[in-house]
Amino acid sequence: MGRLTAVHKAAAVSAAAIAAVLLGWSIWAAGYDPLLLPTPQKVVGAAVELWQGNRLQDDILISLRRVFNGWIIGSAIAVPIGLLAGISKYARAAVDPFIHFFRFIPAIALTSLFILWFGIGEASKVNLVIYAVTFVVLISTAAGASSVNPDKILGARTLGANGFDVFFRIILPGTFSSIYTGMRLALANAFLVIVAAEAIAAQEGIGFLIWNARTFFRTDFVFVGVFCFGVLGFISDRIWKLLGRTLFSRYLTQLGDY
Amino acid sequence: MADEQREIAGASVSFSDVSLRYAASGGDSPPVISNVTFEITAGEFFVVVGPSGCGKSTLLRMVAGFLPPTAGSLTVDGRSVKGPGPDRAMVFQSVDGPLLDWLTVRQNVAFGLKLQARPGRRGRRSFDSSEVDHWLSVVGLTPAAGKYPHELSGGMKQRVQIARILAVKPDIVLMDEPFAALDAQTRRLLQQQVSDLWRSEGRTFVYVTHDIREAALLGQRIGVMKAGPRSNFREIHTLDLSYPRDEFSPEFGQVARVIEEQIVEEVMTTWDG
Repeated sequence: MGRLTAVHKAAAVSAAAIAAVLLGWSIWAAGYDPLLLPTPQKVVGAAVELWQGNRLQDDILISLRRVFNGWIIGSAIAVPIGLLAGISKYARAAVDPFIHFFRFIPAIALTSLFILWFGIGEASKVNLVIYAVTFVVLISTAAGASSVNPDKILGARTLGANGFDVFFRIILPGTFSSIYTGMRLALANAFLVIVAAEAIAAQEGIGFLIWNARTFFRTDFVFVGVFCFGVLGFISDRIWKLLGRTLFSRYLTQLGDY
Repeated sequence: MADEQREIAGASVSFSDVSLRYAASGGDSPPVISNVTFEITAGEFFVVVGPSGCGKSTLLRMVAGFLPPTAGSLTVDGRSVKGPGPDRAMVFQSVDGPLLDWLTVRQNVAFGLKLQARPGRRGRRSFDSSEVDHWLSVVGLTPAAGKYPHELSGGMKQRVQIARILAVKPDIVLMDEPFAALDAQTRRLLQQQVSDLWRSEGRTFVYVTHDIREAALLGQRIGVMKAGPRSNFREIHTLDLSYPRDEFSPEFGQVARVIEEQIVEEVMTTWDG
């Protein structure tokens, strides 16, 4: 019971903070040209306008699809390589130079190259997300795999585990929490990069909405787009966290609650 | 089931002129243990004590097959040790390390049994869940069978470790300071349990500890190691005391004092360079 009220209190504080910020924004924006800073009311009106024209739903779905596909494919590439790099010092020596070179090259810097290579269709956007996701998940996976407690491995060996068993029954489940966390961080990266990908050579998507609205001086549309990213990112993160608490919870007992 | 267990009398261990040098520390570093020769007989409870860093754990890890000797020969029942295997299962000091966090207590205890039940295993045995029940009840963890390791106390985790290795019926039970991280009361209860298990199971136990009272409570023989490097046994004591041991008896006190003095002397040799 005590815990429940604490949760309720925390929720009430969050709600109050949001309300205060909205109110402050409303007052602040009243003194400005809506072109520079639209009021919250105007932004809501813009969202309704976009929704009724079926623009907003389409853009959201298109951006989400790009983010999701890139995130899944990028993780699928990163996890096996990361596991290998984590358990074999030779595999690690082979991939390390590339990892630590490319992870400092922001995906945004590669936007024009990717359009050149993959065209102006879906491929360039999804590939850019894949690029942004891969290195985060890879490093997290490799770090996790290399830090599986050696006593787990030795203990399993004395119980009759062979190399195959050690990999699939110890290393893989033992690395799961690192993969999970890496994918959670990578999800944020995927949202970051989709704006850049959709800013250039796109005809749809939330990123396109933002960049396009700017050229028509629809600052309220820009705000709607920006909020969409925040809300979508927040919801995706919560879904991932919910999966962690339910489906994957047995693998995540060593993780904190954040 | 009880009769079947009594048939297994454990395995013997033989060290013959065994030395070990860690490869990672470079070829010119002195060996951790040097020219060790001794035997552990089948079914014996052998305890290894000695100052920190003398290579007690190294010795145990060699029997487990984690560390091959750099020189000499190490055999179990006359066969050269080639690597780890379920005939020599080990309980680790680390309370949080060896257990699989994503498996319940029951699944942890079943882990080794399930490995041995896999097709194509040498000496394959079919998986029998009643064996898991048996070992859970032996260590008193039946009520906690559905819990995950992070929900257990340190003492319970060590009992899971004990149950999961006894379940695979090893010839040799290796224990590396298993209770060092536990509180005194829990440690006392578990020591008693280990002693009882050794007597009922009839396996060879090799037990490393820095706790002299624990050594004298459990061991038929106690090997005192010299300070490292180039460590070896200083003396192997045979304890002519019946079980269960009375730690307040004069004989017990005498043995403990002699061993204590020897270890202190060994520690002192490392103090003035």
